[in-house]
Amino acid sequence: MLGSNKYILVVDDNYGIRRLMYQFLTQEGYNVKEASDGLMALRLVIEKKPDLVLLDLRMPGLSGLQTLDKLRDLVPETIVVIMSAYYDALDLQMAVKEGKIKHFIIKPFDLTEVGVLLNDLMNNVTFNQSIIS
Amino acid sequence: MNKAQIVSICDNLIDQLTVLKGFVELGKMNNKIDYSLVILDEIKSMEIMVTELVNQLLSLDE
Repeated sequence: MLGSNKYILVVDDNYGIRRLMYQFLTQEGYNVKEASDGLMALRLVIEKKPDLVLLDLRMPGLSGLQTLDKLRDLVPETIVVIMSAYYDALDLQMAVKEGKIKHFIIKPFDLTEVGVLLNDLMNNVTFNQSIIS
Repeated sequence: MNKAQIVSICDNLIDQLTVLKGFVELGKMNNKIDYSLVILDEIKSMEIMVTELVNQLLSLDE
């Protein structure tokens, strides 16, 4: 199993996206929880720290970037991957330049490519943690 | 209809395309699981949204 029981939190206001990512990521061996908005995501993060958060940029209530700021305070070591549409690319590039975002995927994305990216990121986390310990 | 409203509709359509594309990919990967209900739901939502968008655009000409 690729995921080897790592925990991923999927945050998106679209039910279909959450269902899709749940099906795909559990199939890849990850433990997955879903949040339909930023506040729910923060509550779940406080309950249990995820290894990675897949975070939609455009959401009602707390936006993706607002949620990201709060995640950075709560769980700074958790990897966050932003999901967004291509027309947000300029904003995203700006956020990358400012160091707010390291990883993002553009919708409509290719699941196979997402799987490879997440696997790579998860492996780096394990590697870094090994060095620290 | 202003720019923000159009972007919001496009955002929903892109989400629905992502879901459709993803479930078709999943179906291809697995061969067994039937995702047709989810796919039909998304297609219905897209139909409603596109119809609304067209109606809004037509009303701009009136």
